[in-house]
Amino acid sequence: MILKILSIGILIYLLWALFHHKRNKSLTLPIFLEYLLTAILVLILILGVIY
Amino acid sequence: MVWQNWFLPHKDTHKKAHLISWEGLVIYILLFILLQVGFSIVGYVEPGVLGIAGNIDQKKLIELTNIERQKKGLPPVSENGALDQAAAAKAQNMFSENYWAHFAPSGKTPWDFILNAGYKFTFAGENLAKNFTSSDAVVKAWMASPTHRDNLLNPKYQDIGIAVAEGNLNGQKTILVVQEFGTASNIAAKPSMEVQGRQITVPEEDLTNKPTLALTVTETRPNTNVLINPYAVSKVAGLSVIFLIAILLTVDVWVLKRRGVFRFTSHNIAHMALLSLAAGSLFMASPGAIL
Repeated sequence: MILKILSIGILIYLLWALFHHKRNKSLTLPIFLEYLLTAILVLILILGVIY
Repeated sequence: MVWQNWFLPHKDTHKKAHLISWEGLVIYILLFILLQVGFSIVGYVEPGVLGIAGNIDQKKLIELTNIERQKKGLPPVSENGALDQAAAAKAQNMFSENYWAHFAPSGKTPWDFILNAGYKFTFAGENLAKNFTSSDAVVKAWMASPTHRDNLLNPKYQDIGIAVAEGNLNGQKTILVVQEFGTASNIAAKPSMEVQGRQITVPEEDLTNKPTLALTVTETRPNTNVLINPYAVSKVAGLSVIFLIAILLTVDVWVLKRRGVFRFTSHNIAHMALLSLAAGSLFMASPGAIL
């Protein structure tokens, strides 16, 4: 259940980041990496406790 | 000062502090992967060092099960020695064959253990739990899952058998709870067993050629020795990293505001929102699992 909520949160976060920065024409590789790596970090942290 | 660039935005370029830039995030990810790999290596080299110390009582589990049944107006189930033996044999088999499932990789079924213990049944059911630290938490988790709750509150059952056993599963000290329910066979009916919400009719050949499982059942009681709890270590480390990143993101916003600088970058508020969700999830997450 926790993993499901967190996965939905991550999906919203990444989609929002993509749309927002694309619209602002500010989407660069380092910016995209910051979002992607934050999402990966959060997922790794929770998986370390659940499994 | 170079060290300041790790914590504060760069003085001239206003670039994010290293610890909240993508380079810093890569470092955190690698450290956490290293931590998990380290746990796996320790579990392999020194089985039993890692694990969870719990205080689960077999009698308390039966008592809590009956409390839940009585709440729904159902008759209580009575402890049955043969079902206790079947549960203990099942737990021991999970440790010896190193699996976490209702059906063993070697093909043993849940009813094999019950029949082998000498309990002839019309209806039976099995609930499993691992890595919980208290009896209350186990029953609460079963009650929160529809299939396990249906088993626990099944009006057909008359008897119960529970085993709480400690052993090594995948290199980690694990506390297993096996709960077997049953209704002794006193009518000529085809026996069936409820496993994970599925009603399985016991095949005829399993009844005629009753399996003989060569298992010596020794009840092991979980101890409360302090071990290295990998879940607690991961939780504390994870919350610490989230807390550090949250502070550095706040400092980043504050410093840029003071400098009156606008910078094209990812949004700290969005990161903070996801980190808050992660912190909440980490806080609530538990290694306890049911099957």
